[in-house]
Amino acid sequence: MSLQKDLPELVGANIISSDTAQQITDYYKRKQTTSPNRQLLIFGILGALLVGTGVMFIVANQWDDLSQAVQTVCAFLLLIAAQLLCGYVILKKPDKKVWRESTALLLFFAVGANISLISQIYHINGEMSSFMLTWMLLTVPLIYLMDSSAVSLVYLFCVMVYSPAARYNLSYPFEEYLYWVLLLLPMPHYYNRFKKSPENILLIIHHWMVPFVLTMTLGYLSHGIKMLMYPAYMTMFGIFYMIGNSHSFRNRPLISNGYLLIGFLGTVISLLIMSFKSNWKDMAETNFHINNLIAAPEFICCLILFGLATVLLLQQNKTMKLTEWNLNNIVFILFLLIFIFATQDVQLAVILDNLLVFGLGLLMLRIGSKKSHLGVINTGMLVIALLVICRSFDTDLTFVVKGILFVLVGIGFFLANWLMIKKRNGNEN
Amino acid sequence: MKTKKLIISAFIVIAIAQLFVPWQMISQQPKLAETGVEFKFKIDSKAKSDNNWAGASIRGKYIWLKFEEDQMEIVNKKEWEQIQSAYVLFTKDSLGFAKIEAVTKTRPPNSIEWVKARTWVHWKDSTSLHLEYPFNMYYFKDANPKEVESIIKNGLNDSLKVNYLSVKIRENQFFVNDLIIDGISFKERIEGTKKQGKNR
Repeated sequence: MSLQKDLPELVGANIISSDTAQQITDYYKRKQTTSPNRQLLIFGILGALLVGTGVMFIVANQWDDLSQAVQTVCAFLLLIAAQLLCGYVILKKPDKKVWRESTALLLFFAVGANISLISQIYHINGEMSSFMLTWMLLTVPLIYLMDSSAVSLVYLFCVMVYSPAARYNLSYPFEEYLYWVLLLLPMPHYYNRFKKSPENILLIIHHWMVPFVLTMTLGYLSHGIKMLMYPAYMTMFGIFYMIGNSHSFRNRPLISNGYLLIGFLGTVISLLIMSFKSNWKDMAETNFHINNLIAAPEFICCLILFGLATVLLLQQNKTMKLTEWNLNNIVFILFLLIFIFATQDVQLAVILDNLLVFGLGLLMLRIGSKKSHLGVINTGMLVIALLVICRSFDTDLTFVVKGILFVLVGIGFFLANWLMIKKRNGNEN
Repeated sequence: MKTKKLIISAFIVIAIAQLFVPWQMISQQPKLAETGVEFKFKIDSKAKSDNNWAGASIRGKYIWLKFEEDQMEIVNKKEWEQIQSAYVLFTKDSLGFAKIEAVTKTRPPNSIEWVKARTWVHWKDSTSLHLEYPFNMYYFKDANPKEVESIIKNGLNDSLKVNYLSVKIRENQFFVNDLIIDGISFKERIEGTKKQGKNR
């Protein structure tokens, strides 16, 4: 710890008192003992994964030469060994985080491997969805019993894989909606960890995994009224952006704020996709009559998301005037209005969508300029550049117009950076 | 202490459940062999495969089989294009060979003689729904692939020979009895060639 090394020098130079120096030393000592060893945790989990894979490869080498009985014993031994390890950790090492995480992860994969091996050995027919469902239900308690965030992470990933399997292999009615129940199961653990240890590395990965899984799976709610998934996605990205901008996340570095980045990127990409007229072509064929909407999963999803987003928006801006609200936070409302316009006039919706993207880019330039932040300025320029690239695909613009647009954006990039650097240098002098 | 006891008890329950599920899968197999309905699926000797023989091809330790009864006539192509799997209900012809009785999108309620099959529609053909059964791969564990190749090449290229896969079916679960090529059990043939090899 470099600060601890410098303490005697700082005390000697009368910058801090010896009491303060002692307090600093005590603080670092306390931190070292209470905070779990991050490196050990990561290598413990990696070790569990590698050992598991290694054992599987060794067994796989001679697998075909083994009799059915021996194969069955091997499959069960793998599971029982992982269970015994977990049992040992619960009894003897409940406070050792590395042990808890790595053995729980080993058991998680052992359960999946065991079911797959038994199916393979006995040629048992089965659906991917029922396999995933059985595996998830048998392992989700490990998140709570072993207090394991690593299992929670891989569980979330596997549930994401379950979603399309359930959507397209409907063995019984409403199977696809079971995914949402499964997705909710690890959430109390996530919330609990968020309250207790917000700096935990596995929790930070959750901040990426949860929005990623939701982004990948929301689309499977799409049935008859596919167009409604655009406002649904836009609202969901709006929620992510607001969570990323909330009090608990605002001051975090970008690397540990997946909500903000996925929310922002999702919003911009969705707006860019909808800036093409061809992507609105299904609007004319869609029946938006209330009788058709009321039972549609897309509509219910839109309502729930919009309700959640509105609550979040009002909560975050309750102390602000309406004129002070950030455009980024209300993009989902503006897009919903554009979507309503599109039911009457698609051309107008396309123009408004393009203006919204352009406005977002300009807003970022303004914020970046105010904060003297080159990253924000360049992101704003990038949004405008992407809009220009998208428009260059439109055939109704001549090459000259396209060329002028590119030149303007290029000059804009150069000017913005040059002015900002000049402004910074001026401030320093 | 109380919480720890609760955690241990819950873990034991979960561990038993984790062992029970695969055990139950195994224990249902003999029951399936006893109570399943036996069907004989004729191998399509006219179908071209990746290899030089008809109706089957070898991939790793599996023989991929092409059955005669793996298509159904359809009227509305669009209706079937949107799904990827369907329930196939079987019946038997006068010689005991499997025939498709019906293909439905929902689980047949009053029957056990069905499996869920993958479905696809060829882009050129709008009259047939193609079905891929879960038992279209026959696993030959102990046999030499060269011997297997020679057996199925001689057997399947002759359309006059009777080749079929005997399968017991019960509500989507199946138990493969044997592969019959030219009226002789594939298992017996393999055993025979093994004994011959030892005697030499």
